[in-house]
Amino acid sequence: MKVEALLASAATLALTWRCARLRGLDPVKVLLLVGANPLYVLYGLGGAHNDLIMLMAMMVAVRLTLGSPSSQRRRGAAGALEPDASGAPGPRTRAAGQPAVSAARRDARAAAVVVAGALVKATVAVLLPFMLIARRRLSVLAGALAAAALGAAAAYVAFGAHGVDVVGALNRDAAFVSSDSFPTEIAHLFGKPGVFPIDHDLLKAGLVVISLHLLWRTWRGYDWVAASGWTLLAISVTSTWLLAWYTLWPLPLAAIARDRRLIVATLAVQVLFIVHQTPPLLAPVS
Amino acid sequence: MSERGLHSKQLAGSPAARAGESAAQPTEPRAARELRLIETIVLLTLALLLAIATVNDVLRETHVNHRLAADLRTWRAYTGHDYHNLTVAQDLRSHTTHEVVCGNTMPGEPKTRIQLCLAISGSVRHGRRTVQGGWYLPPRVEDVRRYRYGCFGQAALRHTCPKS
Repeated sequence: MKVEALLASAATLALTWRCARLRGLDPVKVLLLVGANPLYVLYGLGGAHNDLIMLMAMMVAVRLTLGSPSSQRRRGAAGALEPDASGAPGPRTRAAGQPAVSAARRDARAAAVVVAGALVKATVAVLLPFMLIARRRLSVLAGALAAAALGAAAAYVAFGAHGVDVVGALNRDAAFVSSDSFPTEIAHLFGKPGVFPIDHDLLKAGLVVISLHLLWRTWRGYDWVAASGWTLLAISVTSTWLLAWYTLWPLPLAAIARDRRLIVATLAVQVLFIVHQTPPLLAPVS
Repeated sequence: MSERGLHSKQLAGSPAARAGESAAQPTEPRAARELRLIETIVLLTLALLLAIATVNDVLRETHVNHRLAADLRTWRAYTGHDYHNLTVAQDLRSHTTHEVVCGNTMPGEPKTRIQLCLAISGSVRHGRRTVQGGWYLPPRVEDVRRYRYGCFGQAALRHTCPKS
């Protein structure tokens, strides 16, 4: 598992570097934001969590949607001031010589990789609707459905009906409560002993509202990478079961997103998480 | 130009639309700037709430830890045993500061000997709290009422043990 996590981490960092270059960002700064992040090193890499494999799949998908360097150059030569970042392919893209078929194939592959990542950790699936809305290609849907069908078939063959009962497992996990989660902290702030079932419903409703707002913003031209990052951050903040490596989910996307508020928010959430771990240092129990 | 107008005309390939609103551009339409401002205000409000909740929780947990450390010291001082494998049960139902600390009466693995449980409450003074009473438990059982015996102090008055 350690070797697997190490390889996934190396691939994630390499892909983040590449995506940063394609988006015209400083790759060194971006790499440091992700690779030198204390929570990434200590909890993600040190703990060898499968979240790193999920992050790798996520960055493969983003990398695929960003296209090849040659297509980026062609797009630049056609007058685009910046490389394609948010996604929506337009007439200018095609006028610049970008073969629509190869772009559609890349999008289909990207969607399939997201689904493959979701089979490791379901959270990454939140990228799909944003990718679909931003790219506006049926190939995204086709790629996702094909990969999902393949994954479901493989899971059924290997594990039977339990293998495809992902929703049941996710519902069970969503009911967990940890003392480190932000909802628990807010409950304590208002004098409640913890979160109750009604709070779970309120949090889910809040997450739906946030997601719908971000989908609407993406539809109107907002960077889909940033929108996906915000959604992942919202999931970790509204989750009643928060672990350190959950705060890593939006990190690579935040590092390469054009909306700098996302990286500030992601790092702020991580700082608050670390601060919340300090009571044993202030008053050790032994 | 409204944001909808921006979308329909620029989304098809305009670099400005694809820039993803990294910062409020001077040329950005007013509606988009206002939306970004509203989002930023909401984000800052949420950040403030999370920061206050986190600091409040850190202080709360620090106080709880301080109290639990005092409970353990109290048990050791009361029994004269410098044992460290003690169990502390908090009152999670009523959220009072009453705690029950249990530990072996003789050296051994946790809960493998007769256990002495102390009901502790009050404020921390000189690193310790007040023992209100207590009871004994046979080896290898949890602190459940039916196993308790030999109650003393407030525990005896409140009939905490099923039998004397």
